[in-house]
Amino acid sequence: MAKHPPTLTITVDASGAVSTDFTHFLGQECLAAGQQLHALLAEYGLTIDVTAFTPKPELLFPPPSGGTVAQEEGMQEGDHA
Amino acid sequence: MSHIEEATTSLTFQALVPLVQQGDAEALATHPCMVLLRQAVTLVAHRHGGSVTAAYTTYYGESRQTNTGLALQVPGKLPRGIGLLIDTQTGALTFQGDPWGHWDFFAEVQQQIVQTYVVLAHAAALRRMHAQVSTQTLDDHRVVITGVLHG
Repeated sequence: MAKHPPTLTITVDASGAVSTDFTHFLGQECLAAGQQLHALLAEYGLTIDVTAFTPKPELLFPPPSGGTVAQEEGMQEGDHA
Repeated sequence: MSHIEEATTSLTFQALVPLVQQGDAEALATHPCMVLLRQAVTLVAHRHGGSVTAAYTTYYGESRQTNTGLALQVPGKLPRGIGLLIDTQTGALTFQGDPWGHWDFFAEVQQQIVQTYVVLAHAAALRRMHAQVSTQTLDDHRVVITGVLHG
């Protein structure tokens, strides 16, 4: 299976609220990417107040190889943590 | 692992406060926040056939300069314009003007400027993360930004 590059898909609604979907990250990399993004946005005067954090299944049930994120394909957003 | 975050956003330009207080127009105009803010206002102005100016007109017909050098006027829909100001105490972005007769559009334009700024800021941040960035506007006016990280 071809490896997908880590991707952030950010949806901004009319009020400026955002939903950020982190896909194809390994391990804790998505958390680091999120922190980096928030820090950079702060330089532009934009404060992000996270109201919901939804881990995808591979966070709770990582693959035995510790590897990939193929499982996330087609996953639906669940209840908010 | 991967996850989904939902968040609200707020804009506060504390870094611009000393520049506004000192009246350093050149430093203000070239600050990354102001560059993005001018882009956001320009995009919204073009969307409505308006123009970016440095002043708005009050109810009494007086022209008022903004401390950001940014205001937006749209003939027919926002004839007296709307000014963008930085609160010199908090750094908050505020909008000023006379909305009489144009209440809905006055509010809509503010929202569009903020939404556009949030989009531009995310795109700029993603590029600094060395992401390949693309954007798409949906029919319901939401904007989707995709950042693909390489290396």
